[in-house]
Formats: sequence, C-alpha cells, structure tokens
Amino acid sequence: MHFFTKFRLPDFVVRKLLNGNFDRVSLACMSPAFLLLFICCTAPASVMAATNFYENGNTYSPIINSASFVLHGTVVDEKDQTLPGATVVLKGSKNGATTDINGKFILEIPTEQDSITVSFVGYKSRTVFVGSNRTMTIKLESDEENQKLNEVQIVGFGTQKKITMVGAVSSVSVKEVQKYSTPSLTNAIAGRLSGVVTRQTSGEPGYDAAKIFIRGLVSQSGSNAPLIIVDGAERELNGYWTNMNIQEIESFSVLKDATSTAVYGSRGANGVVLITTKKGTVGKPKVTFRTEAAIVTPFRLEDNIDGYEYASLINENRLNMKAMAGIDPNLPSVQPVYTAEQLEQFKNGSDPYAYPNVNWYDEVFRKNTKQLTNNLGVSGGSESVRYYINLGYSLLEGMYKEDPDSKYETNAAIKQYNFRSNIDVNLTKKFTIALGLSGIIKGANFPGPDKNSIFTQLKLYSPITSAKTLPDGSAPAGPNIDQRINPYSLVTKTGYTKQYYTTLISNLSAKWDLASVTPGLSVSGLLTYDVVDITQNVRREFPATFRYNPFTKVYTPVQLPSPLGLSLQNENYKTAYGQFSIDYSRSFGKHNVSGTILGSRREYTNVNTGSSIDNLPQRRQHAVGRLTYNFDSRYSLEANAGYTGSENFLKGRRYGLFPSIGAAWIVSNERFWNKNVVSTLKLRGNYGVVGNDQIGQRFLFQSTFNLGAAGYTFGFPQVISENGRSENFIGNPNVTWETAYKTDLGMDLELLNGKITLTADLFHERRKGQLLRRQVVPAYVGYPSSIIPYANVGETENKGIDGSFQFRNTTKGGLYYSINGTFTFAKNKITENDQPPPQYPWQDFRGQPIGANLGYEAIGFFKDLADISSSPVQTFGTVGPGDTKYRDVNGDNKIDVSDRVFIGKYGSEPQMVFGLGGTVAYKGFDVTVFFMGNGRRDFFFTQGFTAFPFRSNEGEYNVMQMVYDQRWVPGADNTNAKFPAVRALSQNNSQTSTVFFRNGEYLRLRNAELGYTLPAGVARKLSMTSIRIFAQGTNLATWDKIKAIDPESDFGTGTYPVSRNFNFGLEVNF
Amino acid sequence: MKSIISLFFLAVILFTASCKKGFLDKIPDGDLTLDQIFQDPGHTRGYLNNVYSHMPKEGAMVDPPAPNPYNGISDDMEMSYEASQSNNWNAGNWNSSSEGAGLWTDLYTGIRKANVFLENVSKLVPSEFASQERINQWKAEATFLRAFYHFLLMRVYGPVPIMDKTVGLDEDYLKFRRQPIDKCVDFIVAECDKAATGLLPRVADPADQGRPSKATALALKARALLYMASPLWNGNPTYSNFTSDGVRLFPDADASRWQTAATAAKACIDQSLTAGYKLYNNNPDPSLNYQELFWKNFNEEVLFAIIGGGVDDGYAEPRGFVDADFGLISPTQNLVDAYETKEGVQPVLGYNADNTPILNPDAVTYADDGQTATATSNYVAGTRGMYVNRDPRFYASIIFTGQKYKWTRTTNPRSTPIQFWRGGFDGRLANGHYAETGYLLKKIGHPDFSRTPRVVPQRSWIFFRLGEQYLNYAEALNEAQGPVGDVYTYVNLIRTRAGMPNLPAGLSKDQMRERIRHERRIELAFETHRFFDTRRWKIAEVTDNAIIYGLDVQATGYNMSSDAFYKRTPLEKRVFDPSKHYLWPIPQVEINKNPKLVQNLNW
Repeated sequence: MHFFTKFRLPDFVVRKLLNGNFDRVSLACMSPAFLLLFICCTAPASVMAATNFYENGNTYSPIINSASFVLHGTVVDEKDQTLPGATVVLKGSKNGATTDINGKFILEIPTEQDSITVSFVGYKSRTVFVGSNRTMTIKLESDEENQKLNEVQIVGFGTQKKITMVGAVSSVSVKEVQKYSTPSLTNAIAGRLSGVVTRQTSGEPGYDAAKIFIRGLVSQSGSNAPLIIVDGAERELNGYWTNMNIQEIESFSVLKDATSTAVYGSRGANGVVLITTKKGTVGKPKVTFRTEAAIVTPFRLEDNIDGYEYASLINENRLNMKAMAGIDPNLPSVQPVYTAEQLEQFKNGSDPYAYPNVNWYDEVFRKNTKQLTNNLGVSGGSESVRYYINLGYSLLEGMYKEDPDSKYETNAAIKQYNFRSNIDVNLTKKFTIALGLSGIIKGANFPGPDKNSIFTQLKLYSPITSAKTLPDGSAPAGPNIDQRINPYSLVTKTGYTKQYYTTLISNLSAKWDLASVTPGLSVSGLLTYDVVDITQNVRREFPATFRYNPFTKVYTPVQLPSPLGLSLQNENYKTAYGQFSIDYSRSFGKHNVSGTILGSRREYTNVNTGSSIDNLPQRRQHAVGRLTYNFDSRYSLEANAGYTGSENFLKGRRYGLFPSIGAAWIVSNERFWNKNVVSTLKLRGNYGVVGNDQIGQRFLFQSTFNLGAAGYTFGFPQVISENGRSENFIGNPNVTWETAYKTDLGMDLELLNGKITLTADLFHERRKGQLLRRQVVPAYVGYPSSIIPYANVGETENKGIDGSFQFRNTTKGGLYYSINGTFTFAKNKITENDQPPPQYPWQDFRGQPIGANLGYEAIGFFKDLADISSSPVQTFGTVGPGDTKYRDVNGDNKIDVSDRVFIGKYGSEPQMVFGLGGTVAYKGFDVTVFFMGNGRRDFFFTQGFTAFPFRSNEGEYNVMQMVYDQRWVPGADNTNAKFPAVRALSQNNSQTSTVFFRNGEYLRLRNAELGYTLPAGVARKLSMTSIRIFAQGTNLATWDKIKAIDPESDFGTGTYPVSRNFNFGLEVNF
Repeated sequence: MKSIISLFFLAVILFTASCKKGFLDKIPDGDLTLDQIFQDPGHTRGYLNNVYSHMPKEGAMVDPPAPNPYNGISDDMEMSYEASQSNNWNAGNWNSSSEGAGLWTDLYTGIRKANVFLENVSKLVPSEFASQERINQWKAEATFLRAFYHFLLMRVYGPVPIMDKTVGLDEDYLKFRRQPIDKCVDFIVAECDKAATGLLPRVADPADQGRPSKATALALKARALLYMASPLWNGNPTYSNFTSDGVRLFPDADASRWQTAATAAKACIDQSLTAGYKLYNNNPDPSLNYQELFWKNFNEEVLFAIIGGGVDDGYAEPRGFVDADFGLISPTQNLVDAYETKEGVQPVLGYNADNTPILNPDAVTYADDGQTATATSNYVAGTRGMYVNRDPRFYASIIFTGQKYKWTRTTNPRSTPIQFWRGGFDGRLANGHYAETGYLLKKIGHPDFSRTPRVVPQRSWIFFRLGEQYLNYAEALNEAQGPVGDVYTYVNLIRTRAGMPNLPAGLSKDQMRERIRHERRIELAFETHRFFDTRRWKIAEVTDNAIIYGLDVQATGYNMSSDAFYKRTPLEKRVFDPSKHYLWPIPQVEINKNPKLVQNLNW
C-alpha cells in the first residue's frame, strides 16, 4: 500500500491491484523482468503525471472515491473504424484521456451526472452524457472539409497547412516504417518516399545504413547527402540519425524543392530530411510494449567454385596458354599442373592437407543469426505537463563463426540501448517549454580485423590454398605475405574489437504566445547540444602458424605467435545550436497571412582529430524569412529566403542569399468545380535558389604551406637530409558554395472522396558552381595537381519526375484494403567539369551522368588464331583464343585508349526507384506486402579484378561460380560464353569493359507481414487495451538480372552481405 | 514565471543573435603565408630544398615510372623487368597518352618553385643565419636549377615553353607557346652565366656537398651548346617546317655553333682546373680507378652529383648472392662487343644476318671463342675468350660469366666466378628474375654492397663530371676545326686515365668523329649520355632500330665452357621510327589543355 502511493502507479493499475482482480493470466504474461522494467519506467512517468494534480490545486488521493467509476470507451468513425489518438476530456475539468491504437480509452468519471467531450482532428467534436454507462462507444462524424483544411505538414522551421502549401514535400506513414525489423532508418524508408533514392550496400551490423539521395545525384564533387533535421536541429551526427529508434519517430518528411529548402540556405540544395519525435498527449499513461525476434540469414554470399573445379581451372589456364601463337608446347609453363589422379583427390577429399578443398565462406559464416528488438513507450500527461518516454533495446548478431576454444568472442554483436524523454510543460497559458533528451548507448563487438581485411582474405584464399586447420588444431601458414593466415583463422584467432558509441541529444525549446501584443504573434527559441563519442579498443593478436608436410607429417613453424595487443581509437564530436524566431499567423476574413523571421547559429567541433584544420569548430549563422499568403483556400503564394554565413569562406564572401518563390492554386475549391469525382485538385509551382556548402575541404580560400615537404640531401661524408617547404595548397579567395537553381511543378489529386490520392512533381535543377580542382591549367604553369586550387566551375543538370499514389477502401463487410506506391525518376547530366576538350570527342564527360565509366566495348571472344590475326591489334599484351575482343571505335585497326567509350548509360546510382505495397485487413487479421526496386542502373564488377580468374596470378583469388559456368572453354561450344577464357595475368581480359557490365535493375519483395490483433475482449481480460502478434519478413525475394550477387550492392563483391530477416513479434498496449 | 521566460530568451538570444565579433572568423591556426616563409631563413632554405627535390633521380632506372628510362632504351642496356617502361618504348608501344606525362609535370613544377623562390628571396633580410652572400648563392642555385630543369625537358621534347616567372591563375595561362630551340638554349646560356657569377668556384664546406659550383653552371652551358650544335637541333631538315604560331622552332644550320660549343666546354674545363677539379686518377689499376670515380662520392672529377639519386645496387646484383633476386639491369652484348681490346682495336664491327659477329681482322689479340688459361684479378681461368684482354673499363663496367665479382669485398666475399647460364649460380631458375642478356651492370654498383647481411654504402649519381667536358670539347672542336691538337689531347687524357693507348695520329675529321663517338659510348656508358647522344647525332634510327643481342640464357645444360651459351642470341628487334621518335610527344592531356602547344611531328 505504502509502496504504491510512494511510486504513484497509474491509478487504474493501483485500482486493479487494490481490488485484487489483477488476474493470473496477465501476471503470467508479464515475466518478472518485464514487470520490473515496466515499474521502473512508468514510475517517473506517473510522477510527472501526478504533478498536474498539484498544479490544479487538487489533493491527490490514491484511494478512489467510491462514487467515481471507470468508463471504458471506444471511439469510432462513421464506418465503425476505431479512431486512435482521439481526445476525451471530462467536461468541466482538465482530466482526460487519449484513445489508444485501437480507439479505446479509459477515464475515471467522478459521478454519473458527468459528460465527456470527445474530439479528434478531422472530426466534429461531440459531448456525451455518461449516465450509468460503464462502457460506451462514441461515434464521431467526420469533418472532411475541416480535416483537409487543417491537416498540417511539417516544413522547415515550422508547420504549414497541407492544403495551402506550395512546396514539394514527401512524407511517409510512420506506422509503415515502424514495421521493419531493421535498426537502420534509411533501410526502413527505402522505396517509401517519392523522390528519395536509397541504396543499401552493406549488411554489417552497425554499418548497414543505406545511402540516401533526394532526387538522385546532382553534385559531381560535393556531398550529395541531404540535410538531416531531427526535432528542429541539424543532426547527421556521425550516423546518429540512421541509428535512431524507429519507434520514437512521430513524423518523417522529405523536403525536395526550392520553396521547401531555400530556408536552409547554403545547406538545402541536396534536399532536407525532417524528423520529429513523439510527444506526450493529454491523458492517462499509455504504454506500448513491442518485442520481436528475428532470424537473419545472409543474402547472396559469394558462391565460389570448389577445389576440384579450381584445380581443373589451373590446368585449363595452361591449356589456354598453350593455344597461343608462338608458344613452345614443351615449355614447362604450359604443362598441366595437376594429374587426373590429383584432381580426383581434390574431389574426394581423401587427403585434406595435401589436397585441400575448403569453402571459406562456409567456414567463416553461420547459416543464420539472430536479432532481438524490444521497445517500451509511455506517454500521457495533462494540459500542463505532457510526457513521452521511450526505451529501446536491440541485439544484433553478426554472421561470423567463432572458435569454440577461443578465449574471447569474435562474432560481431551490437547491443544498443536507446532512450528518449520528451516533456512539454505549459508554464503559463501563453508560455510552453519543452525538454527533449535522447541518447544511444551502443556496445559492439567485432572480430579483430576490420570487415575489409576479412573480405579481402575471403577473396584471396582459394579452396585449395590451404586447409582450415592442421591435424593438431594449429593454424596453417599461408603461401605468402598477403595470405599469411587463412580467413577462418583471421576471423576467429586474431583478436577482437570493442566499440562503444555514446550519443546524447538534448533539446530545450520554448514558445511564447504574444497574442496579447497582437493576435497571431508568437516567439520561440530552441537550444540544442549534442555530443557523440565513439571509442574503439582494438585487440589484435596473431596465432603461431605452421607449414605441415602431409607426407612426412612434419610441422615447421612459420610465424611466432604475437600476444594480444591494444590500440585505442576515439572520435568525439559536439554540436551546439541555437535558434530564435518570431512567427505571425492570422486570418483576416478570407485572407490568411503568416510570416516568420528566424535567426540561428551553429557550432560543430570534431574534438578528437589529428588535423588542426578539422579541429577548428565549424560555424554557421543563418537567418530565415518567410511570408505566405492564402486567399480563401484557393490561391496560395509563398516567398521565402535563407541567408547563410559560414566561416568556410573568405570574409566578404561568407554570406549568401537563397530566395525562392512559389504559388499554388487549389482548383477544386473553386465554385465551378464538381467535387464528386475529383475531390481535390491542386496545382503548384515554384522556383528558387538553394546552396550546398558541403563541398569537402575547409578554408579553401587560404593558401597553406607544408613544412614537411620533399627536401633534399646535402653533405658528404656527413649526409644531411633536410625537409623542404612547399605550398600545400593554393587558396582561391573566390571559393564559395554550390548554387542550385530549382524549378518544381506539382499536382495533388484526390479522387472518389479521398479513396485515391495522387501526387506528382516534375522537377528541374541546374547546379552551378560545383567545386572542382582546375583541370585546364597547363602543367607548364607549374601547379602540381595536389596544390592546384579549387574553383566553382562544375555544372550539372538534373531533371525528372516523382510521385506517389494511394488507394484505400473499406467494404461494407469490413474488409479494408489499400495499395500505395511511389516512383522516382531522376536523370542527371554533367554539363561542365572543367575537363579540357579530350583528344577523342567520344570521351568527353560532359553530357554524361555523374559516375559514368569509360571502358571498352566487348564484341565477343576470339574464336581461334585466325580470328586474332584478322582482327584489329589489341594492345594489352598478347591475346589467344577465347580472349575478349574489343570494338575498334575509331577504326584505326588498333585497340588502345582511343577506343574507350562510355559503357552504361546511367551513372553510379539508379535513375529510377519505385516502391509498391498493399494492405488487406479483415477482422483482426492484416496482411501487408511491400515491393521496391530500381530501374536504369549500371552495374560493374570492379575493374574485373576479382571477377576475372587469376587476374593477379595463376592460383590466386577465388573464382565465382557464375564466372566459371559462363566462361569460354577451349574446345567447347562457346556461343553462350559470357566471360573470356581463363588466362592468368591477362591485361587484355581484365580491362574495364562491357564483359563486366550487367543490367542492375531489380524488383525486391522488401517486406511482408501478417498480423493478428486479438479480440478486444481478450485484451481486456489481460488488462490490456490491445494485443497484436505478427510475423514478417524482410528482403524475401529478389528478381534481377545479376543473380550471383546482390544487385543493390556497389560492385557485388567484397563486402558484408545484406540480410534476409524473418521476425516474430508482439505488441501490447495498456 | 516572467523571470524564467526572460532568462530563457536571454539565453537563446545570447547564443543566436548576439553580435559576438568574428563568430565566423577562422580561428588562426599557425598557417604560414608565402611572405612569412621568405622572412625566415630556415623556411627559405627549406623552400630551396623543395626546388632541389625535383632533381631527377637518374640512378632509378627500373621501376616505373623510372626517372631514368633512357638507359634502358639505349642500345647499351636492356631492363630484365617486364614492368619497366623502357620495354614499351623499345617495342614501339607508346604514344602521347601513355608515357612521359610525369616528367613534363614534375620538371615544370620544379621550375615554378624556382620562380617563386627567385621572386621572393629578396624578402629575406640578411642575418647571422643567412648572410647576404649566402642569399646570393641560393639565388644562383635556384637560377641554375631552373635552367637545368628546362634543359632536362629540352633534351627530351626539343623546343619547350620557357617559364621564367610565375603565372597566376588569373593570368592568361594559355598564351604560352613552345619557343624555338635556339631561344631555349640562349635562355639556358644566359641563366648559366648569371648563376656562375653567384656560385662558389668549388664547394668548400662538406655540409654543402651536392650544391652546384661555378663549373657546374658552365658545364650545363657547354652541354646545352653542344646539343645545339649537333645535327638534331642544328638545321635538322626533318623539322625545317615545324612551326608554332608561324615561328620556326628549329633554326637553319649554322656550323659556327660548334665553335661556340667548343669555347664553352673549354671555358668550363679551365674554370674547373682553376678551382681544383681534375680527372680522378688515384688508383694505379686503371680498372679500379675508373670504378672508384663513380663510388667515391664527390671526388675531384665530380662537377655535380645528387646524393642517393635513386641508385639501388640491388638491381644489379647477380642472383647467386644471398637474397639477390632482382638483378635486372642488363647491359647488351652490343655494348660488350663495342669495348676495344687492350691495344685499342675494336674487335667486333657488326653482326651478320645469322647473328654471328663480324670480327675485325685487325684485332689480332682478340679470340671470340675459346677459353683463357690464365686467371687475372678480374676473371678466373677458363673465362671465355671474348672477355679477355679488353679495355680496363670493360672490367669495371660489366658483370660477365667468369668474373671474380665481389671476391674482395669485406662482408661475405664470394669465391665462385659469376655464372649466368641457366642453372648457373647467377642464371635463370624456374622462376624469378634473371639477367636477360647474360650480363649485369657493374660500373655504378658498389663493391661492398650486400643484401644479407645488409651493407648499403652511401651512393650518389653524377650529372656532370670533368671527363665529359673533355669529350664535349674534343667533339665540338673536331667539328669546328678538324682534328687539331687539342682534340687529340683531351681524348687521349681520357684514354690514358683508362689505361688505353693514345689515338693513332693522322685521323681524318670523320675518323676522329667516329673515335670520339665511340669513346663517349665507352667512357660515359650508363651515365644517361648514350640515349641522348644517339639522338643528337641522329644515329638512333640505326642504333635503336637494331637487334639487341644477349647470350643464350634460356637453354639448359650449359656450363662455363659451353660454346652455345656464348652464342649471340637476338633478344629483341627494337622499334625506332625516325619520323617521330627523335623527340618525345608532349603529353596529350597538355595539348588538350592548350591546343596551341604544337605537338611534335607525327605523334
């Protein structure tokens, strides 16, 4: 009794406990650990909740007045769909509740004479007399007009009414995003937003975030990453935002065009991602607990040929060498290496030490691993204090196998704790203050060597290079310095790495309503301070390695063991930001005006860096002005401007003005419009100038000297080497940001009373002044390329279309179904890159997309020696039958650099991205599927370096099964060969060419989910408002043209694969 | 409550809107400006060091991009390393995009730095750390370096743009053109004269070894004038219509240029002798004496050398030595056959179609085959006849089968003669590198060098030495005046020092020309001269269009007395197209930047 009052549990819990009807089932359901967690988390929340009682001057008593009772209510719409988030207030008091995800609420009613008022955005409010009802269902009538008029969209430095805004903003339903079992936000939004291009290239725990570009690539030289704003402040923060707990996000929007982004001045040109986190709502504490467990399997690990095939391929290489013109067939270098007998031994594995056959991927990777995610959110509050508290915990395991005898763990594993606490306090009616605190604490374990070394070794070690372990369990020595230890030993026996990542994000904001000065006026302020600390302890060691003679059974030590060492790395960043704004918004009859003036300052410091330049704080100060005007919800006008100053540029060139102007016409609000079919039609257009100051290096205006430059040696017999001094860099005082000139024409459409919505935007951007190192300065002027100044000379053009649609319907029988899709097409073109006009006009990068590749066009493989002698001469070493034959572009009967052409059309990122999904729900069941895909993407195996067998030497590097199966084989029918004959060290065959080019388009079943919400009655019996169980899968199927490797990856080889997840979860609400 | 509100906004306003002066001013961070560099004697000296750092490291001939590919392209040498660029040149497999861009860029970078130095050094106030004399000397050094870098470009590309001041990025940097070759030479002559006035007659302070002296500047001048007088630049008919903006880049022939060259060489010799330079002659064994000239750093004959200079003895070590697997620098049989007999007769005059040598009937002491029964300090008994009784410089320059190589070195001496046949100690094995010609370079290698245990003597690479000037003078004087007394005198000084008899009296001008050319090939072998000499004499279309010979190092089963091993074996037929190969192409990327920079003919 005393205990409960002290901790002030939510009174319904108290009540349950007092009444003793806290049933056994629910107790059994809550494991003791969870109960403890639950109590710990809710306790402070209820303390906060309790404050309103004091605030109101009431004396709080945990003993419930016997006259009062608890009303269980449900709020539904006209179609009996429940309405989550509706506000229920006891009339004449400040007590109230908010409906949960299932539209249910619980409210303590003092007497049977009381009434409650139920309201919800977009619906007409209702006041209902309670009487003797203990359960009620309240139906709200939708106020569609009003709903549409009042629906709000978060934009830069404020919110705007969706219907009258003129900018192009995509937003995603947070509920959709939260379905993912990925801890990385960028992966959860893939394909969900029109205009957003994402590509995930690695699945390594902690490093699996996708690249994200708004409307594709535009800058050749600067960053193409969008600006990330979380709760009002810039928070890219070294990966913080991709690590954000998806469950705590309230809204996720992307600003794409000039009108939306110009207010960000020199930071807006790449688009802006706006994220806000959840806030408390008035009502009793609402608890959401979600737990899920996933089985994670790697998607398309490299499939390599086995030992027998590998050894045969070495013999085949000899055979191919023999077939070359002018080769003496008696040379030992063209004799087979393995006899048929030896080949057989690779196959039957009778002597795994003399004739090893190891699939290193199998030895290094598990078949599957696991991932756990738990989340507990509590929110509630009163009119004066509202709170949202969230705790998340996730465990991600990597796929590395471990040595059972190892002293330490080597598998990758990340334990991540997230917390967030957002508190809003109305200090007075006019003055609100909010404090948001959030943190991520992450502890990670990795194998000693980094991922790249592991994957390099995996590529380097062929199945026949060495055994996995020697008969006595010791590690075998590799054949040379690069291969001194095999991948299995490397992963399990060379130490481990501990990584600690700690972030603290804080927001303190206030808003002062100055309606008393003049109606519609308010001032606000925001102060934020964020710190990130990443510490890494690398513990490396090396085991003793031996060479083992399988015939004499003698071990020869090769490498002595080295003890476990320690190296420490630390990164530390801090950011302070402050912003002050004056907002005005008022309606005069049909005229609605609003304006904002805002000033801000930001300082970002990389505290722990070795570079004195990077160590200096990066500062920016910024002013924003915005004016909007709307007449009668029919015509909108907006003009805004950002004015940014940065320390990165020379005094006098620090500030830039970035204006934009836009207009919208809501045609459907005209009197002549018939809304029966097309209920909303809005046309918008805008134009503006935005900047990108993320141009790479800092202080490019300043010349710097290198005091440790190349010197000279004088003196004899006493030799003295003296350092030199040289220009490290030659400054260009005129250096400035990139400037984007953006145009956007958009249309928003709603058909059949909102059943179908459609948005489409045409966009065009010319990005000028991209910072490039001068290319046209002749070498005789004497600036070496390393010191030559940068200048704002690059230009690109980007244009395309993006759009989204949604169709949703509920049948009379209660079947709900919806389809939604997004589409992005963005095509960029370099228009100026400062490249001197090339000797061969077909090699001009101007007119090509960013990331275009020059290479040779393969026209097949040489059939025989006669074919070689009758073809143009290829200048990359002697060729033989089966070697790649290239097209002689300039017709000089010689294949050389002049014959390189642009291969592929789309550049380094896909030009087209789409997502398509649907949901069907009936009774308690719901099924959702979501597909995403890329079109128009060029895919290259890196330089053919690893894709081409024996590129670096005979018997070095693994050979992909696909390459093996599709190679040119001597004496066989090679009409379908896709890869040349195997030929060690062939310069000819490993040229960048269309041989290694594939169409990168794909369609992926990104997500599928089956959920079941238990009937409300069951939940109630368990003292919960709702229980939902679900099973879902991520990356379930992929249709593509590459097959062998992930089409989303950079080059397909050599990195941690993305994963395919199956997860099962439970979400309960109290 | 009001106070909380006020406090909060005060804080916000303080952070965001306060006009804290210089919020955006970059925090000073110890960055130096050009002015600061040149106000400090240490930094100024450091800047000059950086100008020096562009000196080509001509001892590095093997690994691409080698600062010295020239030796490997000359008929004296073959690089037994497939990645060496010289192999591309020798196969004719190069173009304006593939080779040489590094040289062009690096030298012009050095030239710009010299310009920056010369334009700013006057900002340095003399002090006890840098006296006015010191500053003047530095200025002269920078002047010399700028001239030298221009010359290094000219000897490869011919006429080049003269860059005698810095060019700002806001200037019209496309206005520059290639200058006529005589203008380029005039520039070098004038700059060398200017530098000579500021340089010391001879570097006295041991700490300053490696800096140029007065004689160095005069040596560069003499060499540039010798090139200018030679057929490649002096009225070359191939280039008579080669123009830039209507200006002819090669002048009409002018025989008086030979006299100018002779005078300049004599001036250099006189200045050198006055300053105490002389031919190195400190060892009674002429062969050892000649070797010491190259590994006794900064001896009295050296006018200018670079310490280190990229010389790597390991690239010339036969693989029979411990851990030696990189013996790659292989002199050709063609050069071996060029050495005279001890009596001063050239034993081999050329090759027959069946690759057998055309023996000189006058070489009576020469036996091309057979073995000697007599061991000497240079070789063991049983050594092949063709290695016996040759010019002492042969034994100092070339490692050959039967040689007692490094028998006397202090660390790990060897007691087995060199064996270059396949399966021999130093010959080809199943894998790894091997000397493709059956010879390795000895001249520049240091006798004490050892890979394991590691002994690496300090090395240097000579750019100018007095001996070259003797031959420059003799050559120019013979062309200007015929075989007058001084011509004989200076050639014979070189021959006498080498332990060779004097030239026979009564040679005609043409005969003398051949003797001098031959003398240069032998005396200056592997010092980067051969490549440029064959070009300036316009004989590369013969010498570099020829079959390169080695021994039969591929077949197995030989031993020291196998005749078949010593058979002259064609290694490659080199490619030299006289219509274009005399000059290198300007890098294509530079032509792209400034199309007014005319490309050399036929590239």
